Amino acid sequence: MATSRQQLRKYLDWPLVGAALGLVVCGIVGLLSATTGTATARVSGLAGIQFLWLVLGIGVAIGAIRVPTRFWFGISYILYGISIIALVLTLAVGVSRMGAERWLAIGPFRFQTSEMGKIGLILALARYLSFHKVSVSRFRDFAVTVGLVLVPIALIHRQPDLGTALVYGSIFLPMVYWAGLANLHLLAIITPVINAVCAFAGWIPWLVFLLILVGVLFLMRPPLRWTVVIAVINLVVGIVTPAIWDRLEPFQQRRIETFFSPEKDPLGAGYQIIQSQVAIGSGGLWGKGFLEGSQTRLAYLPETHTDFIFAVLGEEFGFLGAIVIVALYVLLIWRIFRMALVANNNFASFVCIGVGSMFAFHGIINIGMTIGLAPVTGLPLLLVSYGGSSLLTNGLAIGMVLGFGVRRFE
Amino acid sequence: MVRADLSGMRSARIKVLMAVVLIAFLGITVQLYTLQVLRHDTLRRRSEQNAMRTVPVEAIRGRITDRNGVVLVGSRPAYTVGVIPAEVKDAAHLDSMVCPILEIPTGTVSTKVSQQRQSLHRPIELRRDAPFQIIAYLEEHRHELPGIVYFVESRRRYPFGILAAHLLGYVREVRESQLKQLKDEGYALGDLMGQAGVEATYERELRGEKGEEYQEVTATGRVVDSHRREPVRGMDARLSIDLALQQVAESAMDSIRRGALVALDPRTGEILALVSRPAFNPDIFSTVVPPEIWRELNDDVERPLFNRATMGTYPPGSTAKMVSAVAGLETGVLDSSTRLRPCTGGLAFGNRVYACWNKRGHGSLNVVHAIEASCNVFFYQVGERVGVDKWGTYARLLGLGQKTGIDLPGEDEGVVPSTHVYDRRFGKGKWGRGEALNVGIGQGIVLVTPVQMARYAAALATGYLVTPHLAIGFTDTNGVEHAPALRPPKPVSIQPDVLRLIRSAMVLVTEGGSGTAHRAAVPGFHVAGKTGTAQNPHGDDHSWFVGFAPVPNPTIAIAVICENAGHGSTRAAPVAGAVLRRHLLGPEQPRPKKDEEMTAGHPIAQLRN
Repeated sequence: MATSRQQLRKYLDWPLVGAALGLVVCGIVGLLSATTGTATARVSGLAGIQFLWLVLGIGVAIGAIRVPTRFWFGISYILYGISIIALVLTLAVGVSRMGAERWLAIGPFRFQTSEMGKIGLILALARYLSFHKVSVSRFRDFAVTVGLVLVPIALIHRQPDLGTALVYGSIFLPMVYWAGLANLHLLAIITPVINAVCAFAGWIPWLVFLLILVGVLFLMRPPLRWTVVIAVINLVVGIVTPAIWDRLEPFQQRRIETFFSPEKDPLGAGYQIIQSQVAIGSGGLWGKGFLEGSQTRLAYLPETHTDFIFAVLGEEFGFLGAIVIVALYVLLIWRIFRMALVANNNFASFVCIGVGSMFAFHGIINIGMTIGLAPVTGLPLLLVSYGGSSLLTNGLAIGMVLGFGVRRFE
Repeated sequence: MVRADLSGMRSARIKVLMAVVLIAFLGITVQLYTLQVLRHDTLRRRSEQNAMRTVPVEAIRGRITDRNGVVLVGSRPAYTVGVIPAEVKDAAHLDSMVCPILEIPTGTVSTKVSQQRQSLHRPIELRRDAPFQIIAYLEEHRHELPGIVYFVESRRRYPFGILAAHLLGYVREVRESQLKQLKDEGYALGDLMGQAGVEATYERELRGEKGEEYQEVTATGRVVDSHRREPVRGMDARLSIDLALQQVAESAMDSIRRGALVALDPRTGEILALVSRPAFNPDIFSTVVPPEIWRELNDDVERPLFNRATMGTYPPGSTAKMVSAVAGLETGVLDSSTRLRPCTGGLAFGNRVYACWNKRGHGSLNVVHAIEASCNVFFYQVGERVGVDKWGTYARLLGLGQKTGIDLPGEDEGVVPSTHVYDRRFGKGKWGRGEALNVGIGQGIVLVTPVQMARYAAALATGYLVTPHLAIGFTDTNGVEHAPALRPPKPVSIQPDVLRLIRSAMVLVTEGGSGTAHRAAVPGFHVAGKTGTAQNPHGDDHSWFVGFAPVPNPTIAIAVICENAGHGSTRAAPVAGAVLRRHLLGPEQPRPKKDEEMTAGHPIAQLRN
């Protein structure tokens, strides 16, 4: 091993370690609260299990720190390949006639594949993009990166899975941006997405978006060819969105609808969004205190141990507690992004951007969801939400990033 | 690509990436501030509402007893099933599941839930007095029926059935029209409230004070913690009614289709017995009254819910002749020996003849014998000489034409004549002096209630005007009895000699040779009385009796009316007699064989023996 003990102590990014451990501790506290004396018995004891996972995850992270960068580089495509095969397998098993019990036994495996899939995607994209001949400005190379993302998205078991698709997209975009994607091209990719969201939201947001787009194009003065392309894409998306809407699964339609107006259905689909905001808002400045959250304790909050753990913490520790978590998250993302700048090789740099983006996207979407700023997508708050495989994978990712930092002067 | 270029671009782009992240988290912080600081109060209240459910705990309504403490209206526990709108997930599902079991019309749940706009956490009643099997079923299927709850309430129990129904009254659900005014007093939709009789008058005392159970409930409706503010039991009301006497009065009135009886203590005004016929069974009100039964009760031409004792107004007929006598004696038109024009079976006045009931005529009479024989001709002349205004003044002195102040709702004040009243009724100058003749025998426009007549008899008996009342004590939860505030008896400004003369005349009515109320007599006691046979526009004559006993020192005054039943002496007097006998002789006395004692000669003769 190239990494010495001295080097490790000197160059280990302690703020990143502190942020990660801080978030994990918050997670355990939130989990204790979510599972102690609640009305639902099925989750009691989860905090203990999570603690075991935490110990394992820290072990994985410490191990990952010492793994040389070239190892990650070497296994990147293999890992990506394995995750693709796992997805195919899951899909195949899902299609074949399996009893309900086998299906449940497959369940955790699928979960793992999608967690590992994110790391596989990050490594594969990082390897490809760091290849010196590759340029994202070239259509063929860009198409390869798009292909790397679309294959796992297409294979995701539960079709169409909005949340996971968005996560993959959120990893992909910053990485190609980091690779030097022209602003104009970025515009051509992002605007249809924003366009679609605005079109869902209604007429007025959509028109506002169009006005802003026209303004941006006017300021950037792109070549006529690109202006036409962007305009056409956006018009098509604006027209097609209603058609896509009709093809969405009813539960997805409901999710989007209730995101825009949860009060329409307070007992049904809007329930989670409303109760989560009630929990957080009722916490006030100082919070109701540990184990004192009535929304949590009386089971008015859904999924307290996973998706809505931020609401538990927000209720019991108030605005100050919530701000601490937000600050830890910002610190974590900043230290990971910063590592992208200081890493001594391009591959490591890309990995850091990918990992940082993954944490950023999960954090923003999950917290945004609990306070009514983002739709309910079922994305966990990484490092805080309950989930063993998630904790292991994220421990690995953070260990990897820390390792890059330790070896940045080699 | 040159490496320097790359690092230059990247140091710019990392700032862009970090800026995006910071903007997003800044947005999150702003929203957190909005929720947790700016909207904190609203959302905290919301979370408290979420968790806390307030279930009213009904207070046990006070009992109503007779003067000796025998329970006339008690309470029994009953299960009430309700629905909490806020917890209903699927009203249509509940409709199909619950309505058939509760035996209520399908759709009741969704209708009631959609009607309730406020206090969604408050249960609305669906079915009162549900049998235990229903409760067992609901308990078993609690998880399938979110929003359905049940609780114990107290129901009214009537050990004596229809006995004293009108004076006791009944409780019913608060009507929506009443609810507006009563909200401040803590009434809610579905609460029971005294709506008639003593139940209504003493609603405040009997009702008690509702308690509340604060339940901490989970999202699925499971109660995890509760603490309660205990309800305060309503006070027990003790009435002046004497159960034994009431029972006798009830059975005596059983033969009367329509009518009323009031017996009171002339010294205090305490009501000893009060009956109205036809009666109803108050027990039908102890649960939800089916609309068809309610309609039937209300549309019945006999009006069984109508308390004739206090609300029924009748011409007093001859029972008002004591008013004429008092007016005549007080104004100097008469003295004890004045004999007016003799009765020849009628009196010619103006261009018509005013008839006496006795076609053969009574001859020449003084006031005492005119009362004894109830001679119309004598009192026509008194009426004519006294005039309607003076007559009205003395009627008022004796308590007619005004509410008696009895503690029952909806009392009528009756009508007492005066020039003003006649002018208003017929127009100035459009009524003749002949009206005064009619008033002299208690006809014309005079209208009285049975309770007024009982009080009038008491006033003649004692010279004091009492306030008839039922409640004589309220026992609180500590067992302390509180006496209600009463108006003291008011002396009547009539000379004692005049009253004494009237009393002796009234004794002759039950005892004298030409008396009309021998059937109201009680062996061993002097009973003062007066019958009446009141002509009325609604058919056959009303049969009246008013009186008091024993003379002297009376302890009971009584008024009985039997609608369209004919002569006072044949219908009302025997009823009064039964009550007076029970009161004066007690229960041991074997029922006198009606005949011999009654018909065989003078009771006075027996008295002397």
